[in-house]
Amino acid sequence: MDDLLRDFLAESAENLAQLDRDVVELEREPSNTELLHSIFRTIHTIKGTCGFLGLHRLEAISHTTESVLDLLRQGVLRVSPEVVSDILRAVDVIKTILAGLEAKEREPVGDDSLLIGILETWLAGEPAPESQAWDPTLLEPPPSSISTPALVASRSVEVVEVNAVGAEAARDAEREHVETPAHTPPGVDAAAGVAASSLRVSIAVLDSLMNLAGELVLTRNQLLEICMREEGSPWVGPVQQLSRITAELQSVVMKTRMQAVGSAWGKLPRLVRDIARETDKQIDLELKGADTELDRQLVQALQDPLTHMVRNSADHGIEPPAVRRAAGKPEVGKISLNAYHESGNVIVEIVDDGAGIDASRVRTKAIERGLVRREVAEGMSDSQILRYIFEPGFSTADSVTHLSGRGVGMDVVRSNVERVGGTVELHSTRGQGCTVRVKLPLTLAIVSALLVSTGGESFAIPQSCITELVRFGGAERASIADLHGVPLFRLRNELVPVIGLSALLGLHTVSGEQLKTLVICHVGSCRFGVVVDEVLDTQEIVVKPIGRRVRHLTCYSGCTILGDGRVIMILDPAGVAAMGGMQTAELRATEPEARVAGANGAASEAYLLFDGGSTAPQAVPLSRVARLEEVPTDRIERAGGRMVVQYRGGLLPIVAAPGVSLTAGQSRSVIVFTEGSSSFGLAVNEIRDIVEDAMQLELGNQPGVLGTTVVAGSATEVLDIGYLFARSRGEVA
Amino acid sequence: MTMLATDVRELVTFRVAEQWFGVPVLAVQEVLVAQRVARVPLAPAEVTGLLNLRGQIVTAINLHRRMQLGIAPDGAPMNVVVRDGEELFAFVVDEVGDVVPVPDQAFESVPATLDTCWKGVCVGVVQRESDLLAVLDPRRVLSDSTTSS
Repeated sequence: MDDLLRDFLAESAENLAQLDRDVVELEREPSNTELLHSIFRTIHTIKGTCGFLGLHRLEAISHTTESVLDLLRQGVLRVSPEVVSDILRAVDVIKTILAGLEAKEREPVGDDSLLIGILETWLAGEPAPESQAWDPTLLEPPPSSISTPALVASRSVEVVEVNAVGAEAARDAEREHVETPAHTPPGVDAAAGVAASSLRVSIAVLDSLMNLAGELVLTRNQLLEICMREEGSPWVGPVQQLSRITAELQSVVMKTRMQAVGSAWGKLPRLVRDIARETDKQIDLELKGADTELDRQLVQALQDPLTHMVRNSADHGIEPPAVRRAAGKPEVGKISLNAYHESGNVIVEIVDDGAGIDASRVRTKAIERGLVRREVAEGMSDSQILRYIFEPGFSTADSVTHLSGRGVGMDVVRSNVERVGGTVELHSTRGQGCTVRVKLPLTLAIVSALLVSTGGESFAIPQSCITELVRFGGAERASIADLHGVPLFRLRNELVPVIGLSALLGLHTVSGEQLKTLVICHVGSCRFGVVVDEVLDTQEIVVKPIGRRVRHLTCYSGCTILGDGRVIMILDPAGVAAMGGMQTAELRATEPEARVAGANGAASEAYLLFDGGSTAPQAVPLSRVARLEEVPTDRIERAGGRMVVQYRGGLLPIVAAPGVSLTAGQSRSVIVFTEGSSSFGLAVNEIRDIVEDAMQLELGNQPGVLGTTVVAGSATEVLDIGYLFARSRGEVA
Repeated sequence: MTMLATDVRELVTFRVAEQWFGVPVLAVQEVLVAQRVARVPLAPAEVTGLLNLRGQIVTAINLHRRMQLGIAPDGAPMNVVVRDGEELFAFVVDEVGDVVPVPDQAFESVPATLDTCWKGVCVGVVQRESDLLAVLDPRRVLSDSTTSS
């Protein structure tokens, strides 16, 4: 692409984001001349440049828009919702053309004469011909715009208003024109000054700068260590100086990657305005803390979830004025976004004073969708029940109801936020509104970590997941209880599952006599303890990605290089918990009660029945089954004492059910289970049926079998998938 | 083979157990003496661990394991660092030899009778005075070792 064109596009993209905000702002503050000048300048710049680049369509529309703005600026026209709507439409067209330019490097073909005609009615103050109605179908809808039919509807009403207001404005203007002296627009020089003090730098350069700064920190640490060893070394002075400068450099480089959170919500005022006009609501959007800074990557990750949640609030949360009046609330609904720093995190709150969410409907829906058993659901508090809104598939269907509209895509919101290490919470009071609280780390690149050692290896655990450390062992050994072979720690009044890190990672385990440390971790809302031999230190570490050959290991989130140059792995507590046998659903469940209930309620699930060669039929919970496959036994290969089959470009470990023989030349049904990024297949003789029943499970003591139950009159063994997973990894025989 | 005929002229040679291998010199970034390697518990057997090369993370691949040449001795193995896209890998080998120029016509095709593990990674064989040099495609060496029956 031509350099000139590229620069023009980059510059325009920035300006247009600002433009949307400014125009909406202008509607609220019609007398703000500063805003008007800013809008005028932006359009003027676009017009000027596109004339230079030979972009005629863009030039025509921006020229007309500029003329209307000029009238507004001179005070000839009055700022009204109608003229603002038309200007926004013009801005949309400009965006569409720019998007086309970016994609194809030339102006997209289109006819803007109708829009230009409408804009010209503002210029002339003459009534638009009735027949020449605005036809929005000539326009591709801009990405975030309201739907086309709504445009048609609202416009047809507006045309009438336009004429009346237009004429009136013209009269007003004549008067004002004489009275008010023309404003001198703030000089172009001022704008040029701002541009000169900032510079566009590519992200890649910033990223490599960031890496280099990280390296410098490591080298400095090594130097410091050497200096410490030599007493009275002449290097101490300069090295300390170097250390200070390095620290400063690192923080400056970090700053270059920081972006104000406001850039993620630049589109929101326009969004809310459009929804409000479309649904005849009055909504006031309040933005606080727009200059709160966080890592560029996180700002990007935040953008879609924010847009989504604000749309939800505006569309479904805020009630129509009449309803609000009846409820004794002010007619103007309020949505406020508030961003601020809190103990190393960035918090973004989305608060609306709308109707809130009806917990009883969520409850009904959760039961309907089979997410929770009725008895369990009825025992849950409203706040517990509301968490089901974040469940995938909770509200994908029948989005016509008020309720489901609120929940649409909340699971996507959550997964987007969690992917960057954040959390989402939702509180709602019926009739009073809803608050969503998003918590994000400041940056992805540097985390504060606890260094631990276990089985002779060192690991880093992100501090953000750790709630406390408990020393135990010796006499306190008693505080570990045992339930069906599962160790649980009595932490005050709560039982916390315990995962032995050494055993989990296949490392050398030290005998139980030694004093050990239990790292209590918090993932989602699930608490568990990780046993380590020793706690070493806390450190700010630079997270480095790990190579593709080890990336599949869910227990690590990356690695880091310590001051002495050593590489250590960073544990991912969520992955560790999943490997330790905790169900992903449990890791998501928010309250301990819900977790317990889920375990008891397991019997009401749907089960897949199959013939595993045992005398009794066998079953696994259907919810755990990823896929069913038919695999010829000849394709099952042996590697490292384990059976595998080549599957979807990778290797799928195969575990045969106890009574299943893999005689060559036949084929077997394989039930594929997936947990995180690891999978395995259970080879069985035959898939029989799927039954959904409230089963009474009698716990057994046979390894690999969860218990027995009665299905259709015959005793059935329910298999323990966690055990089978371990077997597929060769961890148990 | 066409790739070899046109691209590969010089090979970096190294020894694993008793076998000499060659990889195109352009694929090799550098050769390192023994490094401190961080183990990665649960990693595939052929992944020795991770090492720090001036701040970059390098995944060390144990060629004894990868090429099924027995257990690596504990001595002081060498690392041949190869780059694959953005990622760095180190082949942990016993000895690094010379860079040898090999004329295009000296490349012979991989014998059909070679076992699957080797066949999967070898792209050619070069006859030398006293032995055979197995020419490896580093990218294939880095791919998941598929099972050999």
